[in-house]
Amino acid sequence: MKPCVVGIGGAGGNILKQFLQSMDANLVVHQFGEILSFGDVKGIWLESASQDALGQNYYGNLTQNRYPAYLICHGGVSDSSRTRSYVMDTYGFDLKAQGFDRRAEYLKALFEVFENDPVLKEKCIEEFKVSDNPLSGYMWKAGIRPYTTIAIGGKSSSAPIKTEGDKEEGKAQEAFQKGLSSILKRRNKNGPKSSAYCDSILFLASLGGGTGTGFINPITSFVRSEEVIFPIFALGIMTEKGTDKRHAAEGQRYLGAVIAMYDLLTKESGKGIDGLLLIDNQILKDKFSGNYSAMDGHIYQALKPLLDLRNYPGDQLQDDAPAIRRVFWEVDAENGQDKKDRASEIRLLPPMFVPCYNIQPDYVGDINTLVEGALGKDGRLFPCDPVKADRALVFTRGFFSTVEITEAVASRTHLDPNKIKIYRKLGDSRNEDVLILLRNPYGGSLDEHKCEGTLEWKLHEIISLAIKYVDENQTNILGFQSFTELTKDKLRGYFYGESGLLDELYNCLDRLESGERPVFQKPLSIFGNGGIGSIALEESCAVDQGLMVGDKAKMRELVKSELKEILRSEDCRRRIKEIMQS
Amino acid sequence: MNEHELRILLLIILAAILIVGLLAHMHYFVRITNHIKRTSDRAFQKGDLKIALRIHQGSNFNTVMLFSWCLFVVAIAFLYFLTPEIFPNWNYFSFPKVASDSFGLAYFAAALIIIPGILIGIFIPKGYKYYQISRPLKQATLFVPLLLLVSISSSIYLGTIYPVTDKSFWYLGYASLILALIIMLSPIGKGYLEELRA
Repeated sequence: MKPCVVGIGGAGGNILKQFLQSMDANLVVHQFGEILSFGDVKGIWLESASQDALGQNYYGNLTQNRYPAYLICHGGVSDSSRTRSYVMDTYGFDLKAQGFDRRAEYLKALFEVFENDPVLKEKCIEEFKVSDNPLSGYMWKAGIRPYTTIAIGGKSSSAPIKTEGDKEEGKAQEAFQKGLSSILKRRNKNGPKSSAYCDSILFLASLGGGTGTGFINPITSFVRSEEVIFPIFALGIMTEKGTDKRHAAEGQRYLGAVIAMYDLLTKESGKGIDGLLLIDNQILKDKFSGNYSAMDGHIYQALKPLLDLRNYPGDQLQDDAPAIRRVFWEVDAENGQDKKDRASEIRLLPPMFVPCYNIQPDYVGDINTLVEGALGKDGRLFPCDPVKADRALVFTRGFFSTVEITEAVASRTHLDPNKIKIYRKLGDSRNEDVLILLRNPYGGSLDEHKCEGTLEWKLHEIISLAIKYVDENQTNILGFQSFTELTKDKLRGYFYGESGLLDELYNCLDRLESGERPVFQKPLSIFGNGGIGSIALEESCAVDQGLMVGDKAKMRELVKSELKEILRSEDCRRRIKEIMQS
Repeated sequence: MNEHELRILLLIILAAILIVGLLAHMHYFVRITNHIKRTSDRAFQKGDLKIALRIHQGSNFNTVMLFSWCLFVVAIAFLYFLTPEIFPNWNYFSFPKVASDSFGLAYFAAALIIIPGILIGIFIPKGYKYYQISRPLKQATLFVPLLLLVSISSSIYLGTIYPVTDKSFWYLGYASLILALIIMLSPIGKGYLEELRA
């Protein structure tokens, strides 16, 4: 598996640095040559806070063809953009904010308006041509897509720059397209060889309520809407307790985390990510005494068995990304009545994975101690009970037989051997290590949320703190200075309305207490429940605008083809003849 | 042991290090093959193993190693075959036309690079792709061309002042040459030693 690692936000960028550190020899004073990352991964840092991006010297600007690069999410939107003015006037969101407001609901709302407001969609298509979303579209087409295998032999995503129209519109469009087309042109000319393209995407984001938390869901959804079967994985890092350096309290951050997790995990197969890997920073903080570089380094180290390209001889295809994606979604075989029952109510939701990691010197050579360490308390990177996992994906580096790995894992997880998937790598002869991804290690028994160290306990704690924050901070949530009344109404409905987030979070707590899974079930939207669409339509007083330009064209084509079919039919011909004769 | 014999012995040591490196490389494959045979549930060809072990070392590292091995051939030839001190019948001064030319040393070096240098440069650095080489070790290889240039410079100085000799320059040339060789072979040696522990 060779993913394009996308770090979102400050924490995502810091962890991404670990993945992109060059393995090649280089001068200390000046870096030259191609960056060679472990496992040949490529990466990009997406950031909304331009001051943060400019205040560092590791990443260069992607628009200047630098690598490793950062991309400012709103880089395609010009200052005088009409879309920006519309969003600001209608909703009170600034598309070019220097670092968006540090709360997930802000970014959730900001992205939802592009999905749900037909007037805005039309404006975007008019202004930007290539996309109806100038944030996600830009990040995907200019930032991520060129690194993936999808870009091989594909059409250029950039459309010709418009020459007509008023100056203002031209400028806005030019800014978006110039950035896009210049990046794509350069990448095509001097870009990596086909072997250097990535076969999947791994998003890295902290679930601390900032840019990463807010962006991870919209960007993954957008990518999925463009590429239905391309493997997309996400790694979410739950922040530690207490107030962070930006004075965001744990309740506020956990609310962001819950909203992000909720949205990521309630999108069905083919609509969102293929799996969410969870890491608890509190565990790492305790382990590394708050040394954040060491914590980032450990996350990278733990994922190395997944990224290592040195597969056992003859097993080169074992970890190809589509195959892993399929295993991520695999469900138990059913038969008889089960088959009928489950087929009717089938709704596959993305699984959660808890990574468990352990490393030991290669002379130890014992798989049992290695697996024991990984599944033990010190090896788990998120609280959970390994016995509750419904699948285990085991990535080892070292010389171990499949049988001994399966036995070692099965004896500690009580999983059926068929549910343990082994991926063996040769490793580096210095150490042997193992990464075990436990799928959905929770549920099945009552009151597990009371047992410290279980996933139910952790999720219960996070959700409870988020509920507490929502309950006690109505003014902080709804009283943001620039929100319009429309936005405030929608946010009120989303948070406090009937079947809103608060209600749903209480349901989640009930599910955790009763051992039901999945925990997150019903997708929630701020603007999507028929709200803004109808409001916008009323405002524009034009039903026609409810259809996008693209939709209209499709509809016209559909009507045409249907009419042709009708006219060609024997019955229709007969009737026309009858009419003519009469 | 006289001076001449000592220098021949030192040459044999260089050759022995090279042979040990080659044997370690071959034995590395044997050990890995045995490990995999013990743990693998399917038969495999030697080619499969080579494909599985292959790893990109980076363009900078490959360039430095290619350059270093070419320089190594030049350095060893300059140290032993530039003056008639060690091999009276086989040396640069046996070709007076070349030796008296302004660019004689350059022709000599070019001939060495073109004939054995290219072969060595093509085949030897390829051996590195089967080892996981740490970044600090790769960084250390950046010093190899410098060491080899020190050795070549010492040899050129000795060739220039010949028939006068200066032992210290010869030993400086030799020391930098053997140090460069050890660094060049260290990825293989380290990989092999780590493999021995397993």
